[in-house]
Amino acid sequence: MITTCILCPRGCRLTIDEKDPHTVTGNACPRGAIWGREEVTAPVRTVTATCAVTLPAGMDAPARRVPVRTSGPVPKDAVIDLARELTSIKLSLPVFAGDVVIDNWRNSGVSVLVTRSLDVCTQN
Amino acid sequence: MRNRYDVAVIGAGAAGLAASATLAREALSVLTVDREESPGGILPQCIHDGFGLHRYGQALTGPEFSARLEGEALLPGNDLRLGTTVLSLFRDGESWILRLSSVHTGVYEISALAVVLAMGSRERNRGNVRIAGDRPSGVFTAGLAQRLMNIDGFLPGKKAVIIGSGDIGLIMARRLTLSGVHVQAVVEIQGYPSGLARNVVQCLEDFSIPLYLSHATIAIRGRQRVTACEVAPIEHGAPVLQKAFQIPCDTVLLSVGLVPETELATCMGVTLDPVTGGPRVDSRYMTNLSGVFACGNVLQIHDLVDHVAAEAENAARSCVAYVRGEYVQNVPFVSLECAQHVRYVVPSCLIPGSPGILSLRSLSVLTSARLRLRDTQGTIVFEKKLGFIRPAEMIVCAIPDAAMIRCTEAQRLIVSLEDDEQGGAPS
Repeated sequence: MITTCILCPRGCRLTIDEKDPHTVTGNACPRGAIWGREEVTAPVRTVTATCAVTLPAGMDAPARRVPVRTSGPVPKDAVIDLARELTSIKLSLPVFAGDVVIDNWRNSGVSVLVTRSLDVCTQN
Repeated sequence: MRNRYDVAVIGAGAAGLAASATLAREALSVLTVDREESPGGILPQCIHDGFGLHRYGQALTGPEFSARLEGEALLPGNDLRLGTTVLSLFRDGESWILRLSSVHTGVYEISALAVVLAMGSRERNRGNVRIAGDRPSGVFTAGLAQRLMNIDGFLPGKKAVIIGSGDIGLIMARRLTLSGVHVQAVVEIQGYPSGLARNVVQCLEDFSIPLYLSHATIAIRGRQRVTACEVAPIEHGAPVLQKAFQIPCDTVLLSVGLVPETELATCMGVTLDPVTGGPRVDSRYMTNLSGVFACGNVLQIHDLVDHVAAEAENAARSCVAYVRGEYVQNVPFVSLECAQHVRYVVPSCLIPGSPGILSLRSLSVLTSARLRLRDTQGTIVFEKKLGFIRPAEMIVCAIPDAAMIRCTEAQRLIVSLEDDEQGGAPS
């Protein structure tokens, strides 16, 4: 398989043997080799999304969505499901960066965390 | 409220925050203003990760990167005023007077010995790229769509076409898809994607979104709302209208480039560089106006926010020297000329004794590039092997002190990018 490593902006063009032991060439760093092997055996992705904010009447906030991220990568084929689930979650303020939104999603060992601290402010 | 500061920083995005942090750490009194109610500039709406790999060794999301910079900028000497716009700026003897308009306190003036311009950039829109057709609703610039989605909580539409394959467009292709919007295609006029290769993988290939390279957008169609984009392949440099086809959609996102926000700079009399669109600066990041510095996207459009923060810190350090009276007036400078393959270089001249950090972009994709600085005799004064370079990725090169001494002995330096593979012919 020929693909581009996504770990850093360099984007090394990798050639990965789809057969064991999945030799990787084209990587400029060791992390790329690990990523390449994972990509042909069990591809994973980090997911970022936003959750809704429930606002009390008369209150506003610097943003109406709370940005969230997975603590680590999840299987690539679970990304759409997770994103759909996250988009429909409603959170009340205040939230703090690092707050856990979903703990150990589907027993993956990966949690979903808030990435921006937000609190209410009175509407102008 | 004080009305006298050492430095006024205009903008509290990545550049403004990093600059003001450096200034305040050096015990200068700083006023940092931003027209938004939250700091961070564009970062709070960039909810995806990949920021901070150089600066913090981690892949942070935009809000997380912003929080780090905000923490660094939270210093007693840094007066951060949000919801504040700079209406005008003019010289008064040795100081600069800023006329400010605050949402909270009205119009007032402050004075500062130096000013750091960090206003960032604006997006090019449909008018700039002259896409013909109807004028229905549903046409957004990609950054606006990103703000509407990630900050305001609106979905821009249900079925989108993205024009332009820059990083913003690619990132939005993924964002829209993960929010349930069908992204029909990304249309790119060049023969190669203009964003990072990794974004083509994680934003398009991951979701099987078609990428039409070498395709021009002929028209946007629709009456009240967009109904389709009309697209045609480019052959021999021109769109082939007979091969035009329609891509049905109700939303169009334009990702067709950023331009420095220079309204204020122009009013002040700052000389702009016609290629970068931002102010011309010397290697101290100072513009033609004494005590006025520029950094970040307002100076040149960056690809990585890590570079923005580093550039802002360098500009701030120069500003510190200026405020402390360490600047020599009428100092000789060495002008930099762009030659082979170089689209632009920042700064436009080198001042002896200042750090020689060059930021440049190539006009072409080169596989085995070498950066060369030559004097008027053609002697190579400095060179660096760069490897694979492309127009979409800014090249940042620090000239070591020893080489800087050699560079600043020349009258003029010619900057070129040469491809070793092709024998590297001199300009």
